[in-house]
Amino acid sequence: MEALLNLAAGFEIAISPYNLLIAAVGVFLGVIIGVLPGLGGTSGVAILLPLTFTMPPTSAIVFLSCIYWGALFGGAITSILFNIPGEPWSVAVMFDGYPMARGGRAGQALALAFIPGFLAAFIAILLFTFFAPPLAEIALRFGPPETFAILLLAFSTFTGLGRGSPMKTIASAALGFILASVGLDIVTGQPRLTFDVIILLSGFSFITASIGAFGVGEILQSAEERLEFRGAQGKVGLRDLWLTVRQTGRCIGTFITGTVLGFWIGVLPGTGATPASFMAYGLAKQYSRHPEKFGSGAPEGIISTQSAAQSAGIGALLPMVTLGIPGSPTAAVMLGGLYIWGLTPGPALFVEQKDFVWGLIASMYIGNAMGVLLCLFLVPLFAAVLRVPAPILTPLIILLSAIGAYAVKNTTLDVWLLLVFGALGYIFKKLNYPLAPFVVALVLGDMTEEALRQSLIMSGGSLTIFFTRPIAAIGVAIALVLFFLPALAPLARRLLRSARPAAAPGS
Amino acid sequence: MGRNSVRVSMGLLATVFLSVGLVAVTTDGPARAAWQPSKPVEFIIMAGQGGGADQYARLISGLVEKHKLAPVPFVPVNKDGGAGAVAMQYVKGKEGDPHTIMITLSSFLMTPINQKLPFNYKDYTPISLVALDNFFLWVHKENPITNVREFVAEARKRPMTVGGTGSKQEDELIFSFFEQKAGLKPFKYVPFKGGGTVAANLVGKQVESTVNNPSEALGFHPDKVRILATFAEKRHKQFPDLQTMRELGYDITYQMLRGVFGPPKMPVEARDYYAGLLRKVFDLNDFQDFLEKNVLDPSFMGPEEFGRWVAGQHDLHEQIIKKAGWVK
Repeated sequence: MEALLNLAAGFEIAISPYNLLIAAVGVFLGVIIGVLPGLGGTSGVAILLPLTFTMPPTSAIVFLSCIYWGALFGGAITSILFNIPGEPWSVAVMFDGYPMARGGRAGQALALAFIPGFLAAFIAILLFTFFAPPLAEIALRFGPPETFAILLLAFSTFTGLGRGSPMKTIASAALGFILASVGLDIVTGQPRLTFDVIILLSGFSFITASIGAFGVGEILQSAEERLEFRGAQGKVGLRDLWLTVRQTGRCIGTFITGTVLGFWIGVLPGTGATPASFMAYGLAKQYSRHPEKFGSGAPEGIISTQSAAQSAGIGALLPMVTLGIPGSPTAAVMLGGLYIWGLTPGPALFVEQKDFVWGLIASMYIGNAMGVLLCLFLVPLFAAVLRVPAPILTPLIILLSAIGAYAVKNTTLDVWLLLVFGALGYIFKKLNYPLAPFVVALVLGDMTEEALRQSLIMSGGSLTIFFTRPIAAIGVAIALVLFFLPALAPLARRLLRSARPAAAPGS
Repeated sequence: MGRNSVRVSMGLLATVFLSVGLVAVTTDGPARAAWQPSKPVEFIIMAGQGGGADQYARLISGLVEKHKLAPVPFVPVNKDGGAGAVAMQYVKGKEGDPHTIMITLSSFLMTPINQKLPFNYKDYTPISLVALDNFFLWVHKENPITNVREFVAEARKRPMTVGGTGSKQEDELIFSFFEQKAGLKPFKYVPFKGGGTVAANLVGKQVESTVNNPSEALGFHPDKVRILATFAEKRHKQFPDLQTMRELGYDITYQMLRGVFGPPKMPVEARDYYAGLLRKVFDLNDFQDFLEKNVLDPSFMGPEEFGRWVAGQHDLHEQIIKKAGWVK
């Protein structure tokens, strides 16, 4: 009840004309930031932070968080239309979004990202409104062993991801793991695989790798086939919206899993929307009735990833608001903003600065509603971009990718790496190696290794730490079952089959 | 004043002449009182977005903008990676450039030693120190340990699990220092990626103790965490009862530099301009409030004083690092 009263007061603040205007501008800028590859929500928020110094704190946080909501929506657009991830968390959306768009259903693919994404965000905001403090307390119980268990789960859902040869899947993932280990090792402080090249100390960026391998690789391939993009048609009528809602209803299990999983992973400090979207994809595929359709435009592939990414985005702000701990890099930049606006982050903020906190929560509802409306209106415009002749569009996309790669770390090295990864992506496609395991290993490999080694330091080198802590034990146990399921299932089936004939003569 | 500006132009021309071998740019125009940046200043941050250094840089550039202290914007640019090595290499390559400055933290001194890099503090132009960041010794509120004496007794019995930011950086350095001075069992030191995560792991009881900067963990004080001591030289006015480690009989003081450097051979006029500008930022109430709330020691040093101080700090870090056996 108290939450409802607070929320009502928050809405009073958030719907003041000034704050509504600020929110609209924020969402609009956010969508643009989301669309531009490489320029992530974090950089966007950081770049626009100075604009907030003259605003009252509540308007400032409304502005920044609305940029974030906009970027969460916008990231999907570039992924689906061009196979170039607009944001790290929209890499997984490409797996099915792009094939669907290429198949001539760009409008539908975008709607499938936006509407479930919005509904997921809405559910996540409800959870945020009513359960923020207790959820934050539970999140604190997740230490390195629990984080490791979750990441292990993410990998286990991905064992069946590569189509075709399992050896090729393993090779692709192994390459990702090797590249993930390049740089300064956080546990020992030693450089690994840098060959005394200073710039390699910062390692390979997963963003550059995925823009290159997917985006540039795709362009190289289509240039070879014939220089044009298929599937230029993209209009979203009311009928499409209705179809999308019905489609989401049919995949309700996938949608709910994505939303809840995404939200919780977002709440945990140090993980974020990117692993959430990959895990949701893996799970959706594992439990789909048509896993073979994944990767060629399955609606579940889009629904699961986008709903996870958007609810994780909301979840990531929860530890920031309740505890003053950044749940994601974007939240960390916003926390820095709090100091400049003259507020002190921490648990006291929730109690002492009610206007600020509830104004922010109310603006989440408003910002996300604005985001989905804006994006749906813009779909025909974005889809029209695909009608630009390929000889003009292709160089523009490459230019945009190069700028995006540069923006990741502000280094020209990443632009060269973009081309290298582009060539790699092309070779992978030609030789039928799956790309997804490569990027998943690159992005999650680092985090997983870190969590594993932190846990082992805590336990003095003993693996029992993963079985003596209840949450970690459950996670690891499920992950192990999932890992061996593909191997065990045929074995179990064979046992059953051989048991039956054996039983038959006796009966 | 007129003579001054002539000297500036001459200096710039000489730089251009020497480095490019061409006299192409003219810097005259209406004679100005002193050197001022003529294009946006690249404000390099040797850490990622959201970290401590990032916050300071964005605070400073924000205040410059808010109070209109400079004719051009200061654009924060993160060059993270390699514990600062990437940023240092970049700024080293900007020799003589008057439009690039870098905000630093202790890794500015430690990374070149740890990684045996081909450059160190001597290559950069010291501009000014703006603050010294403090370190407290923290435990969870529910921990039975309530003071440093009990902490030491426990840590002599068994290896305690502690957490900090990164590996072979300031947090681990302090714990290692503590270990040496008090004869403790080697800590099980768990490295995390950022100070916020370290604080979360203390509050969540994943680790038993940390040496977080006040700004990172004060939000949980006093409900969830307890402060046992400060590693500063003197007590803080915000916590008059909090004893220093030295008072408690352990000669361990450590503070982290929050300072600004320029590239090698930065023109003196530019250096002095930035030092003057940072002094103005330092004197702002907004900045002083920020320092006070986060228990940073306000200590301003101009270029010469800062340069001498950094040299002393470098030698100190080298000593501790060698003693800890991180570098042979």
